[in-house]
Amino acid sequence: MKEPTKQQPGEQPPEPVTLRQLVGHPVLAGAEHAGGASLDRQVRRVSVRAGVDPAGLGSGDLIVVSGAVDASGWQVEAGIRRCALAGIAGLVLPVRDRGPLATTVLLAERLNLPLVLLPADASPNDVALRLAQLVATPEVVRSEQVLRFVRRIRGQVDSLEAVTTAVAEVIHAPVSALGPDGALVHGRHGPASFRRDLNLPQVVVEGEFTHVIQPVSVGSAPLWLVAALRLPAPAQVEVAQAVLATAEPWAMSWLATRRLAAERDARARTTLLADLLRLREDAGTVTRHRAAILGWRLDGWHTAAYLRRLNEPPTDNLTDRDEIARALAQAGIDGPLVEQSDGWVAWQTVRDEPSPQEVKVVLEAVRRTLALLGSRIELAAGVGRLHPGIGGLARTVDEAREAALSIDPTSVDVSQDPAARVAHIDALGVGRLVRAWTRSRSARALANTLLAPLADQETLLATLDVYLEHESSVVATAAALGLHRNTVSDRIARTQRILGVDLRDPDDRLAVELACRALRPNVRRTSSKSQIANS
Amino acid sequence: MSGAAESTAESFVDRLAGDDVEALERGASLLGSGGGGHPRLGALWLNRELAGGAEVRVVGVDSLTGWVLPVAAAGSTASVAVEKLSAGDELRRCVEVAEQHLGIEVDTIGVLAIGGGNALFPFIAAAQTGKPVPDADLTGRAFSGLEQTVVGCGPEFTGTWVSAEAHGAAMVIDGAGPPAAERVMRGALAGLGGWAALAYPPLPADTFRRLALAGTVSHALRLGHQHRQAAQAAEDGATLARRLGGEHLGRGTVLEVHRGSGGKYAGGSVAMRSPDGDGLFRVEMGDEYTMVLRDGEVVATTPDVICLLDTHRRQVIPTGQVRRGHEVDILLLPVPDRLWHADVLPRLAPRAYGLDADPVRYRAGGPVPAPGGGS
Repeated sequence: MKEPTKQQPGEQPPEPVTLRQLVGHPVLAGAEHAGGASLDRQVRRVSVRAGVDPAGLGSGDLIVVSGAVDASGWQVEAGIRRCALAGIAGLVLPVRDRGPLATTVLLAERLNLPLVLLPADASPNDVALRLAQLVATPEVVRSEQVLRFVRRIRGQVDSLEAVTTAVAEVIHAPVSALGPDGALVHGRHGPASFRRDLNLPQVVVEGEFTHVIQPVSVGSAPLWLVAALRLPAPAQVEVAQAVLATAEPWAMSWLATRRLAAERDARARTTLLADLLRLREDAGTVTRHRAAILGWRLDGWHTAAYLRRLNEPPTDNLTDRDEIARALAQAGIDGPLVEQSDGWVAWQTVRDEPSPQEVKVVLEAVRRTLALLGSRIELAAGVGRLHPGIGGLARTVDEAREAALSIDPTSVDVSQDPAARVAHIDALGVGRLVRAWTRSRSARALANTLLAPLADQETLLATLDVYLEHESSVVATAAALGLHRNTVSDRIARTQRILGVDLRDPDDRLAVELACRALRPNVRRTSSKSQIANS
Repeated sequence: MSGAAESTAESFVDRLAGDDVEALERGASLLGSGGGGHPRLGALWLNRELAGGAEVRVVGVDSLTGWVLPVAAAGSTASVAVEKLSAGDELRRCVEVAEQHLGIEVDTIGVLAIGGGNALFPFIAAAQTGKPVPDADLTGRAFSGLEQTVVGCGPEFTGTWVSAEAHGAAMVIDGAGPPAAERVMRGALAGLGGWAALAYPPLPADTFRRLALAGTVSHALRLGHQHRQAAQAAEDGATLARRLGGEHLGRGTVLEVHRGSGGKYAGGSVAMRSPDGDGLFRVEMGDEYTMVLRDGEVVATTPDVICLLDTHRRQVIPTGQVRRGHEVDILLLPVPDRLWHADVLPRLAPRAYGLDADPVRYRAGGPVPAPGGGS
């Protein structure tokens, strides 16, 4: 170690290490830094000496005294003077029975020689070896630590904590896990901010702490592993990066296992609810048994809430489930939560017939839930009535879905006021019921089939829509569109021909009008009066 | 700093009188280098002898004839002798037993060490026997072991050693050199009551003249008188050092005293900082102060005499009494050049006191390693 490290041609010399970074190294934990001398000197070489002897050494040299030196002896004091005159970067001195005399420490301070006192149980040779590796051959430290991690983690991990603990033990620094939203899910140290939008390893320096961040990518939202290093040497950061990168597959395998289990559970929930809604009172013992296993109470009185997603797909209902469940529980709804294709169904069950007020309580709780979720997960929610038994569960879920569908996400007050995104089935008029129906899947299916021949006839479709809106009056339609009434009657005639319907027939008329209602948002968005007029 | 007064010229006094005893006490105390036992007890004793009509003549080494019997005290005169008081006639009996046993008549009582408590005992013996004391000694400072004289383990000191204790017992060690005599004395001291008068093998006058450091009694008396005048004039450390012909190494407040335990030598260190905070001093000690470091640099070692003086009272602080908070002046007093010669140096260099260091002789403007040092 006394020879300077020889660099292979073309190899980058290790980044210089400051004494402060070495003092922060775990191997010096418990060591005392005596004297106020500057720790910002660069250390280029670590030398082991039997005594405080700087012979042949100079600036950039850190001396680790390994001999049985009495720290209180005069030789140490005389040695400190010689070290300071030689410009030594620092002195690591083991203290056995007794620390250095007051004058020794004062002299080190006066001569600006950093003095690090090793506790009696530390091995100076070990300390010297670790520090020298850090200074001269950081890649050796890196591979050694990666190996240590692999040996420690060995086999399957049963928790995320097993991964973070193993990393923490190897790199001697606290390791935390952050959720997709940057909140701590495990551990205590996390950076105040980092680029969560970049799914890449990152290093964030905040004050004394350097956070080494490794993403664990599963699905759309990554989990983050974060090591918090205090005043690390560059080599220590590299070690943490290497070990965290090695740990990523383990964290990922744990996540994947958990995800698989979650998917299985979600499927079980969804199919069971579908069965219950279909079979109602006819549900057999097998179905009831499955419900019992999931802890669903089928007797008693149910009030359902249907949470419909408004966000543009793709969305991950499974990933967001935890957040929804948390918000619901916080708002006071702690019943089952079941994934649906466009959202979730939640319901509350009580044993005895509750007061009618219960519905208001649920309604209020759903409003609070939406407020708690904020803007990341946008929902429209419907709440059903109170119904008893298995059939009651199916009814209240149906009602809740209908109420949720009644909310038009494009209307102004819905986008402005989150409270307007919650509807109760009782609050729906006939008109809203129709609107709710037109937003249903069956309505879309009808509209697409019936109006398919007009798919590329935007002008005819828009004219038809306005015509039906104006009670089949050619005059009123012409006025509304600013056209001649002959143009309108001509278009309507063509439309009837293409669709093969007679609008004077009440049944045909109703079917076409409902189909138009189902498509209306699209028609209104894509057409304007002038476009219709000019074509 | 050149060697201390080494001359065969006229003695400072030819007979101890009046304030000479106090001067001798002060001088011996300074030359004790913090050890050697405090001469206070011996001074009181000698004063009583002189008050009783006895007289002590001091003669130059040139006029010596017949036999010279070097006398000292063995054991801990610093602590034990204060509690276990002397009978009063140990020294006389010691001389008498030696004379009887060897069948000679001693002409002169020799001084073994002019530093510390041992400086006074030959004068008491002289007062009690009426024999004169030569103006010389065999150590030039205090000694911690019987071989630490200029004679060392030379053939001159292989012979008959006589020890007498307070209850009347006397012990004769025959045919032994200093190491053997020391070994026997250490073993016997408990039985002798902790301390006892000790006569070295007598030396013929010619041999004594050849070996002894002449003029050191006068030197001690001169130091003592100067020290008293300085104390009366309340001089500061630097002025006092100049007056004594020594060097003022610095002034400091004791921050910490560390005393080692076990081993043959009771080692220890005194950490000091100058009042302005600029100077850091560290004084190493064994039985005596042995080394001074200034800002981590060794500036002085034995055999030069290192004194720690109380800054306010100007009294010598022995190694056993220095404590935290003391404000002290560090003085360096020269010793006869002979002590720096290669044949004597090893017995008085720091290693002889258990300190693993080469001797360094102080030079104003910087220390220099002693010639022949490190042996």
